[in-house]
Amino acid sequence: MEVRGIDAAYLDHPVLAQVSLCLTGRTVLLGANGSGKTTLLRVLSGAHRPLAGEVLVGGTRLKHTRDGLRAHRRQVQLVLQDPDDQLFSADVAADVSFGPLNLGLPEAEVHDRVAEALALLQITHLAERPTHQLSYGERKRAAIAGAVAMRPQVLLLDEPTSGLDPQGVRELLATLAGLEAHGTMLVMATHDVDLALGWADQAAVVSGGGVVHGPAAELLNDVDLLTRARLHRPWPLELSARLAVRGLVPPGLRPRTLEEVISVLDAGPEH
Amino acid sequence: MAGPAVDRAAWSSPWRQRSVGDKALLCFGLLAVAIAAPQWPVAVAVLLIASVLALGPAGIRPQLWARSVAAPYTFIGIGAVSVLFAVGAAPTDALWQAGPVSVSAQTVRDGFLLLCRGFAGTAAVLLLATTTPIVDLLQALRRWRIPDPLLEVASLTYRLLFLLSAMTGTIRASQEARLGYDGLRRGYRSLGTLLSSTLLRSWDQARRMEDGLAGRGYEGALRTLARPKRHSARFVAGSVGLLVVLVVLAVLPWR
Repeated sequence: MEVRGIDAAYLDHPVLAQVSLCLTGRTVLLGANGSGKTTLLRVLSGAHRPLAGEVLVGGTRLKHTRDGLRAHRRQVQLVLQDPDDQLFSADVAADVSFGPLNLGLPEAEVHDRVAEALALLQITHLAERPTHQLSYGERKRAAIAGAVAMRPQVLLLDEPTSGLDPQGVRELLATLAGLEAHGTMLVMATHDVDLALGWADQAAVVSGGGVVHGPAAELLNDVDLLTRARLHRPWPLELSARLAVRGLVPPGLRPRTLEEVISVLDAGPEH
Repeated sequence: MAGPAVDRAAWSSPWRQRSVGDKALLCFGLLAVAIAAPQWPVAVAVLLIASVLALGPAGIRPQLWARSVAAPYTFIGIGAVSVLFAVGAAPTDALWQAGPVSVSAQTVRDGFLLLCRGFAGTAAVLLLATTTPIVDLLQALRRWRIPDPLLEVASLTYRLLFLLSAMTGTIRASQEARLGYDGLRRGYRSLGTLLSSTLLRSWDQARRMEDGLAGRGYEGALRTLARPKRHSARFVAGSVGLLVVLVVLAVLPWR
């Protein structure tokens, strides 16, 4: 998925200026509140029309016409941060069926897609539950299921882990890994730099209307960039950097997880 | 948010799987008998039947049933009490009189009949309401050719009511925590802010939901899969048989 020369505004305030990037693999969008992450996600999904620039999926340019948006939404789905912005139906299975029905699929296939999406998100047992009786985490999963049922090539997620407890975050990440195994490309917006480092291959830091894009471990080690974006270095990189200053580990290492940090420490300064 | 007792009962009732048409035949039949029967014993019979069905095979928990009937029964009770009193010239069978206001044997009979019919009719309607979530009712209405836009407005209103109710509760708690209801004047001011805030937020929530739906391909119709319900010829036959018995009892001369 690619964006070229995107200018975008939100409520008449310019937010993004000449943003271009190519998204492959697991990508995380990072930035401060109000930096434009959500606007960028909405531009990618077609929900927000940019002032200039283009969005391409598989080389095909997004056209903001009825047919163009319909074709785009078959390939790209956005899960909003607040699940209540997406769950409209009284029960979970009915809500998940909404998207596939809009694709014009026969009912038998819609039934299959609903069952598949609920199973992938591990909420089959919630199929007949009313949405207003679900917990926040369950509503998040239901909202994701609604997007997954459309079998998009690209799934955009706006702060999917916000409001979830640590176990909920682990379960959600495991679910997202399952979606990837089914061939879906994932783009996630988050503030959680530790999560970003452990999960993403690529990172895009949104700051000052622009986007800096590159390998996650490299970008998240750039203290100046992170400071401008009101972020901080993830703890594995911070710890590794401080230990390197003390000569306890070789410099330049970029562990991404607790296990990698332990390995680095076990290897010692000689490595 | 848990929601009102009627809603919670409807989602958990084993009768939820039954055809809405089957249940409507039974419940509206009971309602018609309750309000048309000239004698109070038939109305009481309807009340007992509806209550036993609700607490028995329909699987409604007694606490939920009690909470569901509390408000309507209280309202009917107040109405029945007001029927006891007549204003004007004292009737010959007056049991009590104070000036132009009197209570007579006839007004007592009228009040009692109103009470019995009201309770029975309410129980019959609540039997349907506590076994049929709104989403099932709307699907049935769609099959019965009620226009889609009306049903979609009802469906979205239902969903938004829960969201706004939770939001209002949170705002109220926040106001209370900051002494917003400490005193009558302050309380009215806080209440006014609460109501205006809820109105603005309801607009905002509706707009955000519209955005969310657009992203899922919404193009003017909120179509979702309908879950097939179980139609039972035995249930229908039993309902018809029961209603016939009640109608016969209703038309029999009782004296």
